[in-house]
Amino acid sequence: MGFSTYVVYYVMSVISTTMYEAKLANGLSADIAAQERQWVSRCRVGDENALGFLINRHRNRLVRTATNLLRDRHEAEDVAQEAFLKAFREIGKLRDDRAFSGYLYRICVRLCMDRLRLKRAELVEFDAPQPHEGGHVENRVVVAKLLAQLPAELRTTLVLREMEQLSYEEVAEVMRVPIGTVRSRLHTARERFRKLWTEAVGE
Amino acid sequence: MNGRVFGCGRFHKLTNELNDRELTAREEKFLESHRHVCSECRRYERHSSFALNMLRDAALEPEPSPLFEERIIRKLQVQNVRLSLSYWAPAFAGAAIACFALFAALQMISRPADLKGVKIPNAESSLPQHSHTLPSLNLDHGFRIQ
Repeated sequence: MGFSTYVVYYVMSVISTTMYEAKLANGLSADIAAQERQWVSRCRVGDENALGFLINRHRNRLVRTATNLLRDRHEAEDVAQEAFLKAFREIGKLRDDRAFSGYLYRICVRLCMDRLRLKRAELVEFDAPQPHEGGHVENRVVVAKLLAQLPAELRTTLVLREMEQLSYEEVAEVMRVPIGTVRSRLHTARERFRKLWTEAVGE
Repeated sequence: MNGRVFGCGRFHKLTNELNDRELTAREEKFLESHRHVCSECRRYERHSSFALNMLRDAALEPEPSPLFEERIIRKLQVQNVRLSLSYWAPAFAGAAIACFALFAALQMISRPADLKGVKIPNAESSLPQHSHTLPSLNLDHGFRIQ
């Protein structure tokens, strides 16, 4: 009797704790979203504190994505800054303040894609990566060289999915393409990356 | 068994989908049985997973530079100044042209006699210059009385 009461009590407490935590997490994310909405609306009237808050909130994600796409940290910072400037310049056109973070991220990815297209156009001759065996840094260099051989669309899809861990829906939203297109691009990109990697490691 | 066998295309497709969704028991079973009979596909799967793992491992986590925010705010200020300049530039240009025209007109009005060779109707400078001394009548010339 005593044991079963204890078990029931324990299960109930676990359930209530889980529910409380879930509620807290939801509440927190709702709070953050509401806060961001306020900052965005303050940003519209040129409040510099609001600008600072929004920059601090989004800079890490933007710089990380741009670095993974462009494989160049300095260029990535330039692109992230350009994305912020463009977003703030056109913040008046934004209909919904809640959409700011997605809007900013989309601008950043699009700017990266533009740069990748330009780079690819410049890439007349490319040295095939040499067969290698090994280290973490070498792997990164080889990955950068292999990614450079993919077209901008394939490369962006692959990086957003594999490195940034975005879902198909998120990739589709960021790149403004249907989910089916993301699926097929990802398949092609993985296939081409695998082939390039096989050639690079000399197997 | 070596070489390709029937169902390799499906195997490739499912290997790719394995990264994004859970396969059904039937699909798992197909992969398992195909793996046993096709060495090409075994190699394909090994390379695929190795390449993708390498790609995921190569993800970078850079920290933005400490001056990142400051730079953006400065650029934003410069951008605002440029925007306001480009907004007011036509007005400034128009005002400058109007000032110049006004200045030129004032110059013309204040110093009309200086304009040599320019004929202005009813202007003082265009009139023939008359001496204000009366012509002298020399009566003595040719009528000298002896």
